[in-house]
Amino acid sequence: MRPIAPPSPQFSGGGGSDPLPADPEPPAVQRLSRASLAWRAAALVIGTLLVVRGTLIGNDIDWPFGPMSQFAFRIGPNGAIHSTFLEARTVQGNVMVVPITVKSVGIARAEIEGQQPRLIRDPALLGDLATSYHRLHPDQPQLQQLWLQDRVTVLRHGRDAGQYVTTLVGWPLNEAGQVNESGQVNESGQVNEAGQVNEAGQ
Amino acid sequence: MSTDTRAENAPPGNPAVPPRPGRGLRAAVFEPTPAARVALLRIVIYGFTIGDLFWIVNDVFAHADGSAALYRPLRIRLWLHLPVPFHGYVHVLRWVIIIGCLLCASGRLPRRLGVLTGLVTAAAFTDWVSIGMSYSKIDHDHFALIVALWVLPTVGISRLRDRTRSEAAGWALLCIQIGCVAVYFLSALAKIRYGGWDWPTGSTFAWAMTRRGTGLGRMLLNPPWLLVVGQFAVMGMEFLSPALLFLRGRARYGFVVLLCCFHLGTYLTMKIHFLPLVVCLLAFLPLEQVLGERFPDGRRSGVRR
Repeated sequence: MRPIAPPSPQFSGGGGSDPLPADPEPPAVQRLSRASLAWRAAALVIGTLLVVRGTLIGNDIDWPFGPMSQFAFRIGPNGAIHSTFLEARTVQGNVMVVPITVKSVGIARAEIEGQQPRLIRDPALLGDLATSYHRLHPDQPQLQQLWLQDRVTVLRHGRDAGQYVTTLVGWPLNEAGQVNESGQVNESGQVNEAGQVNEAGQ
Repeated sequence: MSTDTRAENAPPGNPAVPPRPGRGLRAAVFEPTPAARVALLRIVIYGFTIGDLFWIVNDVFAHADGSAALYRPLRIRLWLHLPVPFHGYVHVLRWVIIIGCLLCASGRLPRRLGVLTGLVTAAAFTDWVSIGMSYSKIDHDHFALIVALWVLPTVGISRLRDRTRSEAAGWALLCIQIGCVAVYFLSALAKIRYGGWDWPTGSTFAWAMTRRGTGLGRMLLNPPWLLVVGQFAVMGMEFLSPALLFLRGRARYGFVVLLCCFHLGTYLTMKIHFLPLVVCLLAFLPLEQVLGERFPDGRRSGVRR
Protein backbone atom coordinates (compact mmCIF):
# COMPACT_ATOMS: atom_id res chain seq x y z
CA MET A 1 0.00 0.00 0.00
CA ARG A 2 2.60 2.56 -1.03
CA PRO A 3 1.25 5.99 -1.73
CA ILE A 4 1.14 6.89 -5.39
CA ALA A 5 2.40 10.33 -4.56
CA PRO A 6 5.47 10.02 -2.35
CA PRO A 7 5.47 12.21 0.72
CA SER A 8 7.14 15.49 0.25
CA PRO A 9 10.40 15.98 2.11
CA GLN A 10 9.31 19.55 2.87
CA PHE A 11 6.41 18.37 4.97
CA SER A 12 6.01 20.00 8.32
CA GLY A 13 2.30 19.45 8.89
CA GLY A 14 1.77 22.46 11.10
CA GLY A 15 4.14 21.38 13.86
CA GLY A 16 3.71 23.57 16.95
CA SER A 17 6.70 25.88 17.27
CA ASP A 18 8.19 25.15 13.90
CA PRO A 19 9.57 28.44 12.62
CA LEU A 20 9.83 27.28 9.01
CA PRO A 21 7.53 28.70 6.35
CA ALA A 22 4.06 27.29 5.78
CA ASP A 23 3.89 23.76 4.47
CA PRO A 24 3.63 23.85 0.70
CA GLU A 25 2.42 20.27 0.42
CA PRO A 26 0.34 18.50 3.05
CA PRO A 27 0.89 14.78 3.70
CA ALA A 28 -0.51 12.33 1.22
CA VAL A 29 -3.69 10.56 2.26
CA GLN A 30 -3.99 6.96 1.32
CA ARG A 31 -7.62 6.14 0.63
CA LEU A 32 -9.20 2.70 0.58
CA SER A 33 -11.17 1.22 -2.25
CA ARG A 34 -14.92 0.65 -1.83
CA ALA A 35 -14.42 -3.07 -1.35
CA SER A 36 -11.77 -2.45 1.30
CA LEU A 37 -14.05 -0.01 3.10
CA ALA A 38 -16.91 -2.48 2.93
CA TRP A 39 -15.22 -5.52 4.41
CA ARG A 40 -13.56 -3.48 7.12
CA ALA A 41 -16.84 -1.86 8.11
CA ALA A 42 -18.54 -5.26 8.14
CA ALA A 43 -15.76 -6.81 10.24
CA LEU A 44 -15.94 -3.98 12.75
CA VAL A 45 -19.73 -4.26 13.10
CA ILE A 46 -19.69 -8.06 13.39
CA GLY A 47 -16.82 -8.09 15.89
CA THR A 48 -18.48 -5.43 18.04
CA LEU A 49 -21.81 -7.26 18.00
CA LEU A 50 -20.12 -10.54 18.93
CA VAL A 51 -18.30 -9.11 21.90
CA VAL A 52 -21.37 -7.23 23.16
CA ARG A 53 -23.44 -10.38 22.76
CA GLY A 54 -20.84 -12.26 24.80
CA THR A 55 -21.33 -10.08 27.84
CA LEU A 56 -25.12 -9.78 27.51
CA ILE A 57 -26.00 -13.45 26.99
CA GLY A 58 -22.79 -15.36 26.29
CA ASN A 59 -20.84 -17.89 28.28
CA ASP A 60 -17.18 -18.18 29.28
CA ILE A 61 -16.54 -20.90 26.72
CA ASP A 62 -17.35 -18.39 23.94
CA TRP A 63 -13.93 -16.76 24.51
CA PRO A 64 -12.64 -14.49 22.96
CA PHE A 65 -16.22 -13.32 22.62
CA GLY A 66 -17.28 -14.39 26.10
CA PRO A 67 -18.56 -12.19 28.93
CA MET A 68 -16.12 -9.77 30.59
CA SER A 69 -16.97 -11.44 33.86
CA GLN A 70 -13.81 -11.23 35.95
CA PHE A 71 -14.75 -9.74 39.34
CA ALA A 72 -18.34 -9.34 38.12
CA PHE A 73 -19.86 -11.53 40.85
CA ARG A 74 -20.99 -9.96 44.08
CA ILE A 75 -20.06 -11.04 47.57
CA GLY A 76 -22.51 -9.65 50.12
CA PRO A 77 -21.09 -7.72 53.08
CA ASN A 78 -22.26 -10.62 55.28
CA GLY A 79 -21.14 -13.28 52.82
CA ALA A 80 -18.20 -15.64 52.83
CA ILE A 81 -14.91 -15.67 50.94
CA HIS A 82 -13.78 -19.09 49.79
CA SER A 83 -10.15 -19.79 49.10
CA THR A 84 -9.01 -23.23 48.04
CA PHE A 85 -5.75 -24.85 49.01
CA LEU A 86 -4.23 -28.28 48.75
CA GLU A 87 -2.85 -30.40 51.54
CA ALA A 88 -0.98 -33.61 51.04
CA ARG A 89 0.63 -36.45 52.90
CA THR A 90 3.93 -37.53 51.41
CA VAL A 91 5.17 -41.12 51.24
CA GLN A 92 7.26 -40.24 54.29
CA GLY A 93 4.11 -39.42 56.22
CA ASN A 94 4.57 -35.65 56.42
CA VAL A 95 1.46 -33.51 55.94
CA MET A 96 2.13 -30.30 54.09
CA VAL A 97 0.41 -27.54 52.16
CA VAL A 98 1.11 -27.85 48.43
CA PRO A 99 0.80 -24.52 46.59
CA ILE A 100 -1.75 -24.70 43.77
CA THR A 101 0.38 -22.96 41.18
CA VAL A 102 1.58 -23.80 37.70
CA LYS A 103 5.12 -24.38 39.00
CA SER A 104 3.92 -26.61 41.81
CA VAL A 105 1.24 -28.84 40.29
CA GLY A 106 0.98 -27.59 36.68
CA ILE A 107 -2.28 -25.73 37.18
CA ALA A 108 -3.35 -22.52 38.90
CA ARG A 109 -5.66 -22.14 41.88
CA ALA A 110 -8.37 -20.33 39.93
CA GLU A 111 -8.38 -23.21 37.42
CA ILE A 112 -8.78 -25.78 40.18
CA GLU A 113 -11.60 -23.68 41.63
CA GLY A 114 -13.22 -23.52 38.22
CA GLN A 115 -13.19 -27.34 38.13
CA GLN A 116 -14.10 -27.82 41.79
CA PRO A 117 -17.46 -29.53 41.14
CA ARG A 118 -15.68 -31.98 38.83
CA LEU A 119 -12.98 -32.69 41.38
CA ILE A 120 -15.59 -33.39 44.04
CA ARG A 121 -17.45 -35.74 41.69
CA ASP A 122 -14.27 -37.38 40.49
CA PRO A 123 -11.56 -37.21 43.20
CA ALA A 124 -9.22 -39.30 41.05
CA LEU A 125 -8.38 -36.01 39.31
CA LEU A 126 -6.50 -35.09 42.48
CA GLY A 127 -4.30 -38.07 41.63
CA ASP A 128 -3.42 -36.29 38.40
CA LEU A 129 -2.19 -33.35 40.49
CA ALA A 130 -0.01 -35.72 42.50
CA THR A 131 1.41 -37.05 39.23
CA SER A 132 2.13 -33.52 37.99
CA TYR A 133 3.78 -32.68 41.30
CA HIS A 134 6.06 -35.68 41.00
CA ARG A 135 6.92 -34.80 37.39
CA LEU A 136 7.77 -31.22 38.37
CA HIS A 137 9.59 -32.18 41.61
CA PRO A 138 11.32 -35.48 40.85
CA ASP A 139 13.68 -35.07 43.81
CA GLN A 140 10.91 -34.47 46.38
CA PRO A 141 8.96 -37.19 48.23
CA GLN A 142 5.90 -38.23 46.26
CA LEU A 143 2.44 -37.24 47.40
CA GLN A 144 0.46 -40.21 48.58
CA GLN A 145 -2.74 -38.60 49.72
CA LEU A 146 -4.30 -35.25 48.86
CA TRP A 147 -7.09 -33.11 50.27
CA LEU A 148 -8.67 -30.13 48.59
CA GLN A 149 -9.35 -27.68 51.39
CA ASP A 150 -11.48 -24.56 51.54
CA ARG A 151 -10.49 -21.71 53.80
CA VAL A 152 -13.69 -19.78 54.45
CA THR A 153 -13.49 -16.20 55.64
CA VAL A 154 -16.79 -15.10 57.13
CA LEU A 155 -17.71 -11.45 56.66
CA ARG A 156 -19.83 -9.32 58.99
CA HIS A 157 -20.60 -5.86 57.64
CA GLY A 158 -17.72 -6.27 55.23
CA ARG A 159 -15.18 -7.13 57.92
CA ASP A 160 -13.33 -10.37 58.47
CA ALA A 161 -15.26 -12.03 61.29
CA GLY A 162 -13.28 -15.24 61.42
CA GLN A 163 -12.02 -18.12 59.33
CA TYR A 164 -12.43 -21.84 59.25
CA VAL A 165 -11.16 -24.61 57.03
CA THR A 166 -13.28 -27.35 55.57
CA THR A 167 -12.31 -30.33 53.43
CA LEU A 168 -13.96 -30.39 50.02
CA VAL A 169 -12.68 -33.73 48.83
CA GLY A 170 -9.83 -36.13 49.45
CA TRP A 171 -7.99 -38.72 47.41
CA PRO A 172 -7.74 -41.68 47.66
CA LEU A 173 -11.33 -41.36 48.80
CA ASN A 174 -11.50 -44.42 51.00
CA GLU A 175 -8.89 -42.89 53.28
CA ALA A 176 -10.24 -39.39 53.15
CA GLY A 177 -13.61 -39.83 54.78
CA GLN A 178 -17.11 -40.63 53.73
CA VAL A 179 -18.87 -38.84 50.98
CA ASN A 180 -22.22 -37.45 51.96
CA GLU A 181 -25.23 -37.18 49.69
CA SER A 182 -24.30 -33.80 48.34
CA GLY A 183 -20.97 -35.12 47.20
CA GLN A 184 -19.01 -33.34 49.91
CA VAL A 185 -16.65 -35.07 52.22
CA ASN A 186 -17.69 -34.86 55.86
CA GLU A 187 -15.36 -32.98 58.09
CA SER A 188 -14.23 -35.63 60.43
CA GLY A 189 -11.21 -35.93 62.63
CA GLN A 190 -9.96 -38.73 60.41
CA VAL A 191 -9.85 -36.62 57.32
CA ASN A 192 -6.65 -34.98 58.27
CA GLU A 193 -5.03 -33.50 61.29
CA ALA A 194 -4.55 -30.08 59.79
CA GLY A 195 -8.01 -29.83 58.35
CA GLN A 196 -9.89 -29.17 61.56
CA VAL A 197 -12.26 -26.31 61.77
CA ASN A 198 -10.56 -23.29 63.27
CA GLU A 199 -13.36 -21.04 64.32
CA ALA A 200 -11.53 -17.83 64.88
CA GLY A 201 -14.66 -15.76 65.05
CA GLN A 202 -18.27 -16.09 65.89
CA MET B 1 -6.85 -6.99 1.74
CA SER B 2 -7.07 -3.53 0.36
CA THR B 3 -5.40 -3.86 -2.96
CA ASP B 4 -6.98 -0.84 -4.55
CA THR B 5 -5.93 2.31 -2.83
CA ARG B 6 -5.72 5.84 -4.00
CA ALA B 7 -3.47 8.50 -2.67
CA GLU B 8 -4.56 12.08 -2.49
CA ASN B 9 -2.56 15.04 -1.45
CA ALA B 10 -5.52 16.29 0.48
CA PRO B 11 -5.76 16.68 4.22
CA PRO B 12 -8.98 15.50 5.85
CA GLY B 13 -11.76 17.98 5.44
CA ASN B 14 -10.29 19.58 2.36
CA PRO B 15 -13.01 21.87 1.00
CA ALA B 16 -12.05 20.86 -2.54
CA VAL B 17 -13.59 17.45 -1.91
CA PRO B 18 -17.34 17.70 -2.32
CA PRO B 19 -19.35 16.43 0.67
CA ARG B 20 -21.16 13.15 0.11
CA PRO B 21 -23.65 11.23 2.22
CA GLY B 22 -21.85 9.02 4.72
CA ARG B 23 -18.73 11.12 4.54
CA GLY B 24 -18.90 11.95 8.24
CA LEU B 25 -19.17 8.29 9.11
CA ARG B 26 -16.29 7.46 6.80
CA ALA B 27 -14.16 10.16 8.36
CA ALA B 28 -14.92 8.76 11.82
CA VAL B 29 -14.34 5.08 11.10
CA PHE B 30 -11.58 5.53 8.55
CA GLU B 31 -9.99 8.69 9.87
CA PRO B 32 -6.76 9.18 7.91
CA THR B 33 -4.10 8.55 10.51
CA PRO B 34 -0.31 8.73 10.29
CA ALA B 35 1.03 5.41 9.06
CA ALA B 36 4.10 5.99 11.26
CA ARG B 37 1.83 5.60 14.29
CA VAL B 38 0.96 2.08 13.21
CA ALA B 39 4.58 1.33 12.40
CA LEU B 40 5.63 2.22 15.94
CA LEU B 41 2.65 0.56 17.62
CA ARG B 42 3.39 -2.57 15.64
CA ILE B 43 6.91 -2.80 17.06
CA VAL B 44 5.58 -2.40 20.59
CA ILE B 45 2.69 -4.87 20.16
CA TYR B 46 4.72 -7.62 18.50
CA GLY B 47 7.58 -7.17 20.96
CA PHE B 48 5.13 -7.37 23.83
CA THR B 49 3.53 -10.49 22.38
CA ILE B 50 6.84 -12.33 22.49
CA GLY B 51 7.26 -11.34 26.13
CA ASP B 52 3.69 -12.43 26.84
CA LEU B 53 4.62 -16.02 25.93
CA PHE B 54 7.20 -16.11 28.69
CA TRP B 55 5.79 -13.91 31.43
CA ILE B 56 2.00 -13.74 31.13
CA VAL B 57 0.34 -16.70 29.40
CA ASN B 58 3.34 -18.80 30.40
CA ASP B 59 1.43 -21.83 31.67
CA VAL B 60 0.83 -23.39 28.25
CA PHE B 61 3.73 -25.84 28.48
CA ALA B 62 2.69 -26.82 32.00
CA HIS B 63 -0.82 -27.52 30.72
CA ALA B 64 0.43 -29.45 27.71
CA ASP B 65 2.65 -31.60 29.92
CA GLY B 66 0.03 -32.03 32.64
CA SER B 67 -3.18 -33.99 32.88
CA ALA B 68 -5.33 -33.97 29.75
CA ALA B 69 -8.29 -34.77 32.01
CA LEU B 70 -8.22 -31.19 33.28
CA TYR B 71 -8.52 -29.77 29.73
CA ARG B 72 -11.91 -28.06 29.27
CA PRO B 73 -11.69 -26.71 25.73
CA LEU B 74 -13.24 -23.43 24.68
CA ARG B 75 -15.84 -23.54 21.95
CA ILE B 76 -13.40 -22.03 19.44
CA ARG B 77 -11.02 -24.96 19.97
CA LEU B 78 -13.79 -27.48 19.45
CA TRP B 79 -15.10 -25.75 16.33
CA LEU B 80 -11.67 -25.54 14.76
CA HIS B 81 -10.76 -29.08 15.85
CA LEU B 82 -7.66 -27.83 17.61
CA PRO B 83 -5.93 -30.67 19.41
CA VAL B 84 -5.64 -31.35 23.10
CA PRO B 85 -2.38 -29.51 23.75
CA PHE B 86 0.75 -31.64 23.86
CA HIS B 87 4.40 -30.74 24.18
CA GLY B 88 5.43 -30.83 20.51
CA TYR B 89 2.36 -28.84 19.45
CA VAL B 90 2.90 -25.95 21.83
CA HIS B 91 6.63 -25.99 21.14
CA VAL B 92 6.03 -25.43 17.42
CA LEU B 93 3.30 -22.90 18.21
CA ARG B 94 5.67 -20.83 20.31
CA TRP B 95 8.31 -20.73 17.58
CA VAL B 96 5.70 -19.75 14.98
CA ILE B 97 4.62 -16.85 17.19
CA ILE B 98 8.18 -15.69 17.94
CA ILE B 99 9.33 -15.78 14.31
CA GLY B 100 6.07 -14.24 13.11
CA CYS B 101 6.34 -11.40 15.63
CA LEU B 102 9.93 -10.64 14.68
CA LEU B 103 9.13 -10.57 10.97
CA CYS B 104 6.01 -8.43 11.46
CA ALA B 105 7.73 -6.00 13.83
CA SER B 106 10.54 -5.47 11.33
CA GLY B 107 8.06 -4.23 8.74
CA ARG B 108 10.41 -5.45 6.03
CA LEU B 109 8.22 -8.07 4.42
CA PRO B 110 6.65 -7.49 1.01
CA ARG B 111 3.00 -6.51 1.34
CA ARG B 112 1.22 -9.78 0.62
CA LEU B 113 3.72 -11.86 2.54
CA GLY B 114 3.49 -9.38 5.41
CA VAL B 115 -0.27 -9.72 5.57
CA LEU B 116 -0.04 -13.51 5.46
CA THR B 117 2.65 -13.61 8.17
CA GLY B 118 0.63 -11.26 10.34
CA LEU B 119 -2.51 -13.36 10.07
CA VAL B 120 -0.63 -16.59 10.80
CA THR B 121 0.93 -14.93 13.85
CA ALA B 122 -2.48 -13.71 15.01
CA ALA B 123 -4.00 -17.16 14.60
CA ALA B 124 -1.09 -18.84 16.39
CA PHE B 125 -1.25 -16.44 19.32
CA THR B 126 -5.02 -16.81 19.55
CA ASP B 127 -4.46 -20.56 19.68
CA TRP B 128 -1.79 -20.12 22.37
CA VAL B 129 -3.94 -17.93 24.62
CA SER B 130 -6.99 -20.14 24.07
CA ILE B 131 -4.97 -23.05 25.48
CA GLY B 132 -4.23 -20.96 28.53
CA MET B 133 -7.98 -20.32 28.93
CA SER B 134 -9.01 -23.95 28.39
CA TYR B 135 -8.51 -25.14 31.95
CA SER B 136 -11.57 -23.50 33.52
CA LYS B 137 -10.16 -20.05 34.18
CA ILE B 138 -11.05 -17.54 31.52
CA ASP B 139 -9.53 -14.05 31.63
CA HIS B 140 -10.36 -11.14 29.40
CA ASP B 141 -7.12 -9.22 29.66
CA HIS B 142 -6.03 -10.36 26.18
CA PHE B 143 -9.05 -9.27 24.17
CA ALA B 144 -7.64 -5.98 22.86
CA LEU B 145 -4.23 -7.52 22.18
CA ILE B 146 -5.77 -10.27 20.10
CA VAL B 147 -7.82 -7.69 18.20
CA ALA B 148 -4.60 -5.75 17.59
CA LEU B 149 -2.79 -8.79 16.20
CA TRP B 150 -5.64 -9.52 13.80
CA VAL B 151 -6.05 -5.95 12.50
CA LEU B 152 -2.47 -4.67 12.34
CA PRO B 153 -1.55 -6.80 9.29
CA THR B 154 -4.38 -5.21 7.31
CA VAL B 155 -2.60 -1.85 7.29
CA GLY B 156 0.08 -3.18 4.95
CA ILE B 157 3.51 -1.63 4.71
CA SER B 158 4.06 1.33 6.98
CA ARG B 159 7.38 2.63 8.06
CA LEU B 160 8.49 4.82 10.92
CA ARG B 161 9.44 7.55 8.48
CA ASP B 162 6.23 7.24 6.55
CA ARG B 163 4.44 10.58 6.64
CA THR B 164 1.35 9.61 4.77
CA ARG B 165 -1.96 9.33 6.52
CA SER B 166 -3.91 6.27 5.76
CA GLU B 167 -7.52 5.23 6.15
CA ALA B 168 -6.41 1.64 6.70
CA ALA B 169 -4.29 2.79 9.67
CA GLY B 170 -7.23 4.76 11.07
CA TRP B 171 -9.51 1.73 10.89
CA ALA B 172 -6.97 -0.59 12.53
CA LEU B 173 -6.34 1.83 15.37
CA LEU B 174 -10.08 2.33 15.85
CA CYS B 175 -10.54 -1.45 16.12
CA ILE B 176 -7.87 -1.64 18.84
CA GLN B 177 -9.43 1.34 20.60
CA ILE B 178 -12.87 -0.29 20.50
CA GLY B 179 -11.27 -3.51 21.74
CA CYS B 180 -9.95 -1.62 24.79
CA VAL B 181 -13.20 0.19 25.46
CA ALA B 182 -15.14 -3.07 25.09
CA VAL B 183 -13.13 -4.64 27.91
CA TYR B 184 -13.85 -1.76 30.29
CA PHE B 185 -17.43 -0.99 29.35
CA LEU B 186 -18.54 -4.61 29.08
CA SER B 187 -16.90 -5.34 32.43
CA ALA B 188 -19.33 -2.83 33.92
CA LEU B 189 -22.26 -4.47 32.12
CA ALA B 190 -21.11 -7.91 33.31
CA LYS B 191 -21.12 -6.62 36.89
CA ILE B 192 -24.79 -5.72 36.44
CA ARG B 193 -25.51 -9.07 34.78
CA TYR B 194 -23.79 -11.26 37.38
CA GLY B 195 -23.58 -9.09 40.48
CA GLY B 196 -26.67 -6.94 40.10
CA TRP B 197 -27.10 -3.20 40.38
CA ASP B 198 -25.88 -3.35 43.96
CA TRP B 199 -22.51 -4.81 42.90
CA PRO B 200 -20.58 -1.74 44.16
CA THR B 201 -21.97 -2.08 47.69
CA GLY B 202 -20.74 -5.67 48.03
CA SER B 203 -17.43 -7.10 49.13
CA THR B 204 -15.96 -8.26 45.82
CA PHE B 205 -12.76 -6.25 46.27
CA ALA B 206 -12.50 -7.56 49.84
CA TRP B 207 -12.76 -11.04 48.33
CA ALA B 208 -9.85 -10.24 46.02
CA MET B 209 -7.70 -8.65 48.73
CA THR B 210 -8.38 -11.49 51.17
CA ARG B 211 -7.46 -14.14 48.62
CA ARG B 212 -4.49 -12.54 46.93
CA GLY B 213 -3.92 -9.11 48.39
CA THR B 214 -0.38 -7.79 48.83
CA GLY B 215 0.55 -6.12 52.11
CA LEU B 216 -0.76 -2.86 50.68
CA GLY B 217 -3.95 -4.55 49.45
CA ARG B 218 -4.69 -6.04 52.84
CA MET B 219 -4.25 -2.65 54.46
CA LEU B 220 -7.25 -1.49 52.44
CA LEU B 221 -9.54 -4.11 54.00
CA ASN B 222 -10.27 -1.91 57.00
CA PRO B 223 -12.37 0.11 57.17
CA PRO B 224 -14.54 -1.78 54.64
CA TRP B 225 -16.00 1.37 53.10
CA LEU B 226 -12.63 2.13 51.50
CA LEU B 227 -12.99 -0.73 49.07
CA VAL B 228 -16.69 0.03 48.56
CA VAL B 229 -15.69 3.52 47.43
CA GLY B 230 -13.15 1.85 45.14
CA GLN B 231 -15.88 -0.34 43.66
CA PHE B 232 -18.08 2.68 42.89
CA ALA B 233 -15.10 4.46 41.33
CA VAL B 234 -14.07 1.52 39.17
CA MET B 235 -17.59 0.84 37.96
CA GLY B 236 -18.07 4.53 37.17
CA MET B 237 -14.81 4.63 35.26
CA GLU B 238 -15.75 1.53 33.28
CA PHE B 239 -19.16 2.94 32.37
CA LEU B 240 -17.55 6.19 31.22
CA SER B 241 -14.90 4.43 29.13
CA PRO B 242 -16.68 4.88 25.76
CA ALA B 243 -15.88 8.58 26.16
CA LEU B 244 -12.32 7.61 25.20
CA LEU B 245 -13.51 7.16 21.64
CA PHE B 246 -14.87 10.68 21.44
CA LEU B 247 -12.49 12.69 23.57
CA ARG B 248 -9.47 14.27 21.92
CA GLY B 249 -6.27 15.86 23.08
CA ARG B 250 -5.53 16.23 26.77
CA ALA B 251 -8.89 14.89 27.92
CA ARG B 252 -8.25 11.64 26.08
CA TYR B 253 -4.67 11.33 27.26
CA GLY B 254 -5.78 12.13 30.81
CA PHE B 255 -8.31 9.28 30.68
CA VAL B 256 -5.59 6.93 29.43
CA VAL B 257 -3.35 7.97 32.32
CA LEU B 258 -6.24 7.38 34.74
CA LEU B 259 -6.69 3.85 33.38
CA CYS B 260 -2.96 3.19 33.68
CA CYS B 261 -3.10 4.35 37.32
CA PHE B 262 -6.01 1.95 37.89
CA HIS B 263 -4.00 -0.96 36.50
CA LEU B 264 -0.94 0.07 38.52
CA GLY B 265 -3.19 0.13 41.58
CA THR B 266 -4.51 -3.39 41.00
CA TYR B 267 -0.95 -4.56 40.48
CA LEU B 268 0.31 -3.01 43.71
CA THR B 269 -2.63 -4.30 45.74
CA MET B 270 -3.15 -7.77 44.25
CA LYS B 271 -0.55 -8.36 41.56
CA ILE B 272 -3.06 -8.22 38.72
CA HIS B 273 -1.70 -5.96 36.00
CA PHE B 274 -3.74 -6.38 32.80
CA LEU B 275 -0.61 -5.40 30.84
CA PRO B 276 -1.88 -6.88 27.53
CA LEU B 277 -4.69 -4.34 27.72
CA VAL B 278 -2.46 -1.50 28.94
CA VAL B 279 -0.13 -1.87 25.97
CA CYS B 280 -3.12 -1.54 23.62
CA LEU B 281 -4.06 1.78 25.23
CA LEU B 282 -1.12 3.15 23.22
CA ALA B 283 -3.51 3.13 20.26
CA PHE B 284 -5.09 6.25 21.77
CA LEU B 285 -1.84 8.22 21.70
CA PRO B 286 -0.09 10.11 18.87
CA LEU B 287 2.88 7.81 19.09
CA GLU B 288 4.57 9.13 15.98
CA GLN B 289 5.37 12.35 17.81
CA VAL B 290 8.12 10.60 19.74
CA LEU B 291 9.76 9.98 16.37
CA GLY B 292 9.70 13.68 15.51
CA GLU B 293 13.39 14.32 15.95
CA ARG B 294 14.38 11.38 13.81
CA PHE B 295 13.04 12.69 10.55
CA PRO B 296 15.78 13.32 8.06
CA ASP B 297 15.20 17.04 7.92
CA GLY B 298 15.35 17.23 11.70
CA ARG B 299 11.89 18.70 12.05
CA ARG B 300 9.07 17.50 14.21
CA SER B 301 6.45 15.45 12.46
CA GLY B 302 3.88 17.76 13.97
CA VAL B 303 1.02 15.45 13.14
CA ARG B 304 -1.89 16.17 15.35
CA ARG B 305 -5.28 14.71 15.90
